[in-house]
Amino acid sequence: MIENLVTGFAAAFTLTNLLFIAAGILLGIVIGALPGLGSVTALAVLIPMTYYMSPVSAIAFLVGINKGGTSGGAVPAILLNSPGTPEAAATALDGNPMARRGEPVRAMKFALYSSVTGDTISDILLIVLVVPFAAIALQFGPLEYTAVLLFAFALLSGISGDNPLKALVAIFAGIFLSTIGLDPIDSSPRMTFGNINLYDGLPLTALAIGSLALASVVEQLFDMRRDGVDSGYVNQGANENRALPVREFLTYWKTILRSSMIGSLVGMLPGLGVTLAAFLSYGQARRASKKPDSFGTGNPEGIIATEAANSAVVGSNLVPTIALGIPGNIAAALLIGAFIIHGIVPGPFMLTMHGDVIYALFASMIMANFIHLGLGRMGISVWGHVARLPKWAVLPPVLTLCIAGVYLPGQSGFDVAVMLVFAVVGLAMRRTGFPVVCLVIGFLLGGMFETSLRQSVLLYSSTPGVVLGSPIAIGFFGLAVFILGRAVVRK
Amino acid sequence: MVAGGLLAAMALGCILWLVPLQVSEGTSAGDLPPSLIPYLSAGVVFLLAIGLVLQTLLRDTGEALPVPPGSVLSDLLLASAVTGVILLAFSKLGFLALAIPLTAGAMLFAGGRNRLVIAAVSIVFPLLVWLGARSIFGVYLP
Repeated sequence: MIENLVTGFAAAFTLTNLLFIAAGILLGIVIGALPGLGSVTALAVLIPMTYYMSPVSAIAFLVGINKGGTSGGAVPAILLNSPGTPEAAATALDGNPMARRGEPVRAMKFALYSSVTGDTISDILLIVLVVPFAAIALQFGPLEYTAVLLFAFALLSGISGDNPLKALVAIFAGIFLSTIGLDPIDSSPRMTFGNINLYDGLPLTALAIGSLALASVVEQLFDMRRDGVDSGYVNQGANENRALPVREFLTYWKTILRSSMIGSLVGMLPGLGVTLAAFLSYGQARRASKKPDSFGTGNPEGIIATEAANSAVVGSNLVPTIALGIPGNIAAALLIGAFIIHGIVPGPFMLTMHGDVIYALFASMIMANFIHLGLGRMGISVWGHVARLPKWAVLPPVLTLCIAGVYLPGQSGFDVAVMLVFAVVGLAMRRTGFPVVCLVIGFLLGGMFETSLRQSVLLYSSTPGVVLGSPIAIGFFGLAVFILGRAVVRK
Repeated sequence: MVAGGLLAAMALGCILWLVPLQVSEGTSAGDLPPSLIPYLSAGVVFLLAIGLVLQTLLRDTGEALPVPPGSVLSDLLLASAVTGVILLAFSKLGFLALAIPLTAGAMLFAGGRNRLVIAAVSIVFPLLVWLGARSIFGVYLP
């Protein structure tokens, strides 16, 4: 492994790659800090730009965006008490009171240092664990894959949104949409209406950008028209205490370590999101604290707990992505789309077939953490100004960017049409409480689910008793039933 | 309840019309029909949608929609109409002729009133995107 990693560093340590990582982090922080946008929007909008890059640079660029975007989201949460993303809501609980107390820069430094530390710990865990996980996954047959996918769907429906039924509807609607195009086994057309553009299925990038990024922007435009915009910006005072020595930060090492582990574990489970990690970690830090009442009043531990945990998800959610081809969350789902664009099929064979790219990616992730720390630290007083830009001026240009971004790779008006249709679908889902994330993940995993289910039925239809001989499949089926049952009963 | 009813109707439409009409029933030797997963997924959506309707009828789930139902409908109608206009304008007029009024219109719609900012952003940003696509990626946006 060390040898592979050294080779990965050699491949990734190029000026071009470092510049792409830096550009990704910078864009991630800026877009994450911009009101109304977040790392998922940034990833969705910028994936098409990577068509023209080498696989290593492209994935490193996107990982940079994801890392930067996750920490950038803390800026509006701290300064405006207006978290752009759900996971940053936990950061606002203590970040904004600390800023209002006159320490906005210290609060942002706590957020940045925790974010980078959590990210680094998670990356190390990814590098150490991905090989054994992939080795286990290689033993999986179609039955085990079907069970793991059902488990992921159950987990996703149990935690996404307020109603597990709605989440399941979205997942199965995504699976249904994934069947449009040529049948994966006998190549007969399905629901194509004779349109040649549909033979390859609906384009993932257009569907994801439309339903995630564009729908979110359109929804906010409608909300702003209805409710107006409130800004509670905290100015950075000239005489405030801005210093945060590393020694002081490290006095919170227990919280840093615990939160990074919580974030990493949540990230490794398919379907669980960053928001859950942030709130779980915040609650755990509060329970473990000697002064739990100080949480919510500007306690740095509150910021550390949420930022270390939500950034730790970024690295570890690549464990199921690389080992099984199943995304840990929506950002990983978008990364899978990027892997596929560059001819890399995620799954247990990824390490043997594209080991050079994967280890270069790991090396890029480690280097990205140092670049993230440097850029984040240098720009700390700039991000506040970015967060202060009015939403009405920031969101409309994203519409233009989405249209150009989707058109660029295939130069296809059909892709733009698909994106616009799914923007309306995404808006309808958001307005009626159906989680869009579930639709996209269902669509992404639909093909894998279909293949593994059909293969399982073919293999075991004559001898169904064989199913009982697979403890892994039985375990995952049991867990799926338990999670679903629990979620439905509790609701 | 309306969303559940609509979904159930759409899923039923897929099961009774779309899949039988657009998916081959023929099976190659030793395989299952290509219509299996479309039927299965549409069937599950239908059952769950019925479940949603029953859930709303039988008990209060405590869920609250982000906006009133009337606004949901008006927002969707407006968004669909704008989508149609964008598609038409993109194919007939081209990117710049669409992007500049779209950006300016969206800014005004969202409550922006600073004319200078609206004019600058709505002209400069689409122009930069158009030039970027041409010079960096070598793609001429229509």
